[in-house]
Amino acid sequence: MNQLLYVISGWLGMFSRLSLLLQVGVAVGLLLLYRGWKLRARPPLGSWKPVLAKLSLVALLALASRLLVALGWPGGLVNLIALLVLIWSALAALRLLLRRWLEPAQVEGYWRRAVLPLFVVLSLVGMVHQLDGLEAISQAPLLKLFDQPLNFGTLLLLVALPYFLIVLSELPVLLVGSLAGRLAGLELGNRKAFELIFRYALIGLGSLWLADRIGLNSTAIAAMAGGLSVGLGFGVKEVFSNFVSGLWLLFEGSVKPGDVLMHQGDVCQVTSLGLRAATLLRTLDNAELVVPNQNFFTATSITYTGSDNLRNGFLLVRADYKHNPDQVIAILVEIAQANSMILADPAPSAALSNFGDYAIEYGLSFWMANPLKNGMISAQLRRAIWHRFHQEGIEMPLAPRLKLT
Amino acid sequence: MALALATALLAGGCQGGLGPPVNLQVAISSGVGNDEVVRRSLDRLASQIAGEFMRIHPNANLHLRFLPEAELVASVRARGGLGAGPDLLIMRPAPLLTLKQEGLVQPSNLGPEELDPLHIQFLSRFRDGKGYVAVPFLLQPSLACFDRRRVPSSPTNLNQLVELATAGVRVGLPLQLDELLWSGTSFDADRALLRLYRERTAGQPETLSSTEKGQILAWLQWIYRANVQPTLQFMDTPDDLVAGMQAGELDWISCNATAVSQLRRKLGSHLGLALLPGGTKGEKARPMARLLLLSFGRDSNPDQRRMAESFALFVLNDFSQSNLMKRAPGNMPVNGNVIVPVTKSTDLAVMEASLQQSVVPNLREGVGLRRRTEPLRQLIKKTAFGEMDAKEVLAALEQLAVAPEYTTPGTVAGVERPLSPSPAQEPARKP
Repeated sequence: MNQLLYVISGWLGMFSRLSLLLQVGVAVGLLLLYRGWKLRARPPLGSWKPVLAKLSLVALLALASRLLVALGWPGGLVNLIALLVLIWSALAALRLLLRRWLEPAQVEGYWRRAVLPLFVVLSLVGMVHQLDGLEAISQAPLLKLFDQPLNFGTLLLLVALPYFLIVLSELPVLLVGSLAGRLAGLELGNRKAFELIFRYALIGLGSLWLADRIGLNSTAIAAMAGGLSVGLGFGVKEVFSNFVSGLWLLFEGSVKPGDVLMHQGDVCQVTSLGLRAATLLRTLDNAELVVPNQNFFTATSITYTGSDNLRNGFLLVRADYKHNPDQVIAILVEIAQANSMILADPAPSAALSNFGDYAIEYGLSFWMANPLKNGMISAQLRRAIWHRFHQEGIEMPLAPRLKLT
Repeated sequence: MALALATALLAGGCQGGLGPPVNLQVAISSGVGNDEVVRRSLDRLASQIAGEFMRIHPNANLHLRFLPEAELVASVRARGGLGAGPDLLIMRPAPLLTLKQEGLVQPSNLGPEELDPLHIQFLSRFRDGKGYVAVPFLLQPSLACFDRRRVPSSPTNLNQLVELATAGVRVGLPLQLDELLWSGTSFDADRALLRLYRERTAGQPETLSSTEKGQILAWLQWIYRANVQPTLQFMDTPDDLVAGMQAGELDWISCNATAVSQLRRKLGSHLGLALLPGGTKGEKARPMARLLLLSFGRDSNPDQRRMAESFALFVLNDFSQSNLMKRAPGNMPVNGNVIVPVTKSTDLAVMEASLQQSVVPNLREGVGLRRRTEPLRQLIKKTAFGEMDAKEVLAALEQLAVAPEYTTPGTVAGVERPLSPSPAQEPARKP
């Protein structure tokens, strides 16, 4: 810690020089000028005015730098600040453009979580690198961890890298997933699974690199593993079990985002498969169900999207005994064939399934490409059958009821 | 928060001090990138003397930054552009010329009053107006390092060296010209080569006389003949030679004195030191001694400049120079008042004797050689391995001297005056 403060005190020595103080004064003055304009003008979010104002600030800073050099003073620091403002302006312009194409909330979220912190960290690192080099500060020892000296650079990596690894991996993973999807012709579900596995792999590799970078030795890893195993035995057993189940499901491909499956008697679609749980969308009432991963791992799952996406629907219809079954069957098949959501191949079929107590029971079997549409198709068929039966004079007898008087 | 930190640090720095803290940035460049042995030795040494100086000046905070020589100029240039250049530089002469030309170093305010009593060698070479663009700091002589178990006594001339190799002793020689130039002594090729590569303005080539050509040719032919011996090896860098001897793969090498402590740790009392072999007619070898310099940055405030000069005077005074000589083996004083205890230490006796024969190239010669390090290494390698005929190599050496990419464009008037009065190949130490 002392050495870290000692390195920082060296920068104070630099800033006791008039040449540097003058540059800092010029840069801070111009930055305050911009800030003052922003407070007065209050440009709305999404306006291009701040970008233009920032570009004007860059021009002023560059001009001030040239002027200082012409007067025989160093102007590199002002130039460096101008460069940072220019990069910031470019990012701000990109942010405005992205807001046009993507959901603004999504852009703002990524901006706050990834772009802004990354810019701040890289700007600070760049400044230190230019002024004094990174070696001295990054090697300043802080404390000992598992008998390994932990220096400032490593600590910064330990804090910053996992954060940026998780946050920043989002975008490249989407891009790679989209590319892989196009090249390999992956379906949405497989693509989502690929993206998730790729993201886990990136985070895993980053963590391994970090462990190697900070010099974690095998004894330390063994100690951590020992501690973890106790933790697994008690508190975090379920969490770990769900995590492993999630990974296994992804590798196995039995449950993946986009899949349609039966959960507790309802047809649901898997919207995401997370570290701990899967999120299912129940189309019946638009409810989102968060289901722990190990449920899929330990219980039987009924999926409609395993080997193909086809689903077979079945409808029970009753008609009076007086009607010719051949006519009824033909009508039922005809109705099914007329529905655009029912597949022609495999063709729909109807059959006399039972001689009931008061009516003949017919079964109409049909296939659909979208397993989530079963309810809608069945409703359409029932409606069409009623109209057609009414038109053809086919009666659908009601169950006889005793009327007690 | 930044203000609070600054106040805390300033207050902390004041404790027990004689005034407000003065932070000094010291850039230290020990040699070319792969000169690891010398670099480690200098790192240790610089940390020691900085610690001692801060004990005497509690308000001084020295921040040492170590850089390879190849990065020094670019780093000082970049930081100088921000106004954050180092206050003090410790380096070999090669980068000084560029730094001086670009105005990145400033002559010191130290005058005869402070420096004359120290009798600093080679100081006059660096005079610039009323001050000095650099002040010599330490000398690092070249020696013969050998394993006494395999080599009872070191050869005194080149013929004996080759005979030693013929007898099965594993001999290692460097391919780097400034480290190998001593072997040209008996042919007088060293003087001709130093003159040939003296840094000059483009369009003013040095030419070799036919006598000089003959001398260089004879030396090149010796290199080829020597390399025929299977036990005599030429290696790329001095570091490779030291590593080879530490690994027990070499018995006799040409080495810089700064490698002695590292070799001593491995070989103990079996390590022998001697003068490098001279000519067959009894002439002594003229190895090149390395000179370290202190130079002052451009961006310091008056307090920093005063403190940097105090530090320079501290490391140059009789006490520090004597201490450095004893505690950092291989580093010899430039302070003429320091008496080298040659009767008490055989190592120091050999180093001092080597310095009496050594040549410290002037700034232009040093820069000229350093800029051409790599192409020269390749040419010597091709000679040693018979890839090129000695005459072809000689022609290539002459071409290299005038190659535009290794010639300074424009004028070197800024440093012409301080360099001119110094005689070329002045011995490092007067006997």
